[in-house]
Amino acid sequence: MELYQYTIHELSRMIKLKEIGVYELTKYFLNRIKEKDSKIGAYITITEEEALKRAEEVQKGIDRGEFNSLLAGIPMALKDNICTMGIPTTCASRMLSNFVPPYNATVVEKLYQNGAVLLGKLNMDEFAMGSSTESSYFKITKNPVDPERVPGGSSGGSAAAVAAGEAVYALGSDTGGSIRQPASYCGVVGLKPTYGAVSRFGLVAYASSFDQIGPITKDVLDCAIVFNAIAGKDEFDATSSDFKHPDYAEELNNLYNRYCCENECIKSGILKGIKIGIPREFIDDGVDEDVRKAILKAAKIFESLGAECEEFSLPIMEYVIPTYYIIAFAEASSNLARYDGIKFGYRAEKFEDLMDFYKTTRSEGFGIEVKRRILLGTYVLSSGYYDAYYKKALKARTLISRDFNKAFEKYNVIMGPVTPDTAFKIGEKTDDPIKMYMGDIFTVPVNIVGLPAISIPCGKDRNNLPIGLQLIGKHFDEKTILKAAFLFEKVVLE
Amino acid sequence: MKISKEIILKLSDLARVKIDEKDVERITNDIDKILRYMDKLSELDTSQIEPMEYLNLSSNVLREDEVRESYDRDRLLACVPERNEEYVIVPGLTFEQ
Repeated sequence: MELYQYTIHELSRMIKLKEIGVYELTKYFLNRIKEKDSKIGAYITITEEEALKRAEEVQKGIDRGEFNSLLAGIPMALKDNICTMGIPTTCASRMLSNFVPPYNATVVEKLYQNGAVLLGKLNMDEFAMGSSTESSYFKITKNPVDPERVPGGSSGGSAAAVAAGEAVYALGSDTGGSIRQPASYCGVVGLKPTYGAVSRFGLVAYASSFDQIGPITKDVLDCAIVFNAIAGKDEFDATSSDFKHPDYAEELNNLYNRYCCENECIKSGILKGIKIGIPREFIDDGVDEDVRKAILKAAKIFESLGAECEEFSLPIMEYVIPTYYIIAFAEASSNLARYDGIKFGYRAEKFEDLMDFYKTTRSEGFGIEVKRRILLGTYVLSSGYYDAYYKKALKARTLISRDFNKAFEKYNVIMGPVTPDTAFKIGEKTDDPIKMYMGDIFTVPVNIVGLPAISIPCGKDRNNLPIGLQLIGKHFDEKTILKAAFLFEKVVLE
Repeated sequence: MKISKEIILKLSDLARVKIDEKDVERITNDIDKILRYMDKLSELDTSQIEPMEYLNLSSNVLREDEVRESYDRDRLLACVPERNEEYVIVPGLTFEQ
């Protein structure tokens, strides 16, 4: 096995046993990025010098016994909408192409406290608006599984970097599926935490009532390890929750010991008491045949572990895309009003008057999809249309939340595919925004309601492309979806 | 209602986003199509439903009003497109009529 294939928990052990040094490991990944990334295009910025310096410091800290985190010395990378002090944070936009943040996002501070080593910043759809990483101002990222296809988006660089072994793990952000969908397309694991579980301080805002930061990793245990490190209340984010998180990694290790040591009888009952609901709308005619089969096969696996699986109807699904997009457009147009060319970011050089200064700056600074969403957001918030669109969508949000919460009175987990199809070809959907938006149907309700959801690989389709299984949990019940995902992964690997 | 070129140009003023002449038609069509799709929501009866503006914000977040160290001015000013040592420099923006 090559070093790039190892997980956080494996590498952490090797570092602890002094089988490998942090500097050597960091150097290895930097070399691998140099070798591979010209074909993948996952990175916007590679922080070679800082990474090597940091690796030496972390190694000294480990030698002095200062770090007890499993993340100590592990090389990782961040989506380029997460602020890093002194390191460019571009949001894959011309508007922020010269922006160097004066502070770190809270998640970055937390990872650093755990001894993380930053390799660089990852490509994404411009301002996280997209599902394919094709709207980046800088470049198109390719799917490591098939370079003719998109890695998904908007955290396409994050998923591609982990899948290609160009980072051990990465952070992404998920506003309407932007962690889960690329994780699914690239065959890796991605967790979108409950709204409020992870601080958004230092995450460049897109749609603030949906945005959450989360991990993209090689396996479920790694996902729990990273989530442990980044979750928690932050005084700089008033929407972050003071929920007392359990040690998710420890929960999984305990489960694993039980799973391995007990006899077959207990193995087959390890998920006893867990009820999994599969909305019929998640496996209907609009879903690719191979994807549907993979999901139904996954249900059988959960049943073999003692869980009860049942189909149910969730008719409100018909309205999730318009609800999501109207609110996202509105919040985006409001959040992106700050880019005025005065205080930071891009500034136009030629203009006629003040109005033209703003318009030219924003027109040259933003790409087409961002402009489209700002205009749509302006429309749905404008007087005369506010009630018909924005307020209507907020009311639909109430109805969607109600229906999901009602389903959770009966089920512990809601299960389905992450997307109706697998990774599509580069350029296939760029001319048809509605077609692109429709692909988000199974991921957006999770953000509308603020629920946690995990995406894990659950097989391949006829083109050998990865299929993603989505497990949705109750608010702040990451524990249950992580456990179910962990056991599923173990059964599939056996 | 069909989205017209005029509405798009009005929005472009409101949103301070200039649209190139060559893109106006494409953007008008796209936005028209997208809004038509969003009109699906009008099927939902929401007459008795309250809008959901916030998620899990059950209480106000308050803290003591205390003096704390803030960001370093030089670091903040380093982000500004044009500046001198202490100030943001903005382009000349008053014009003769």
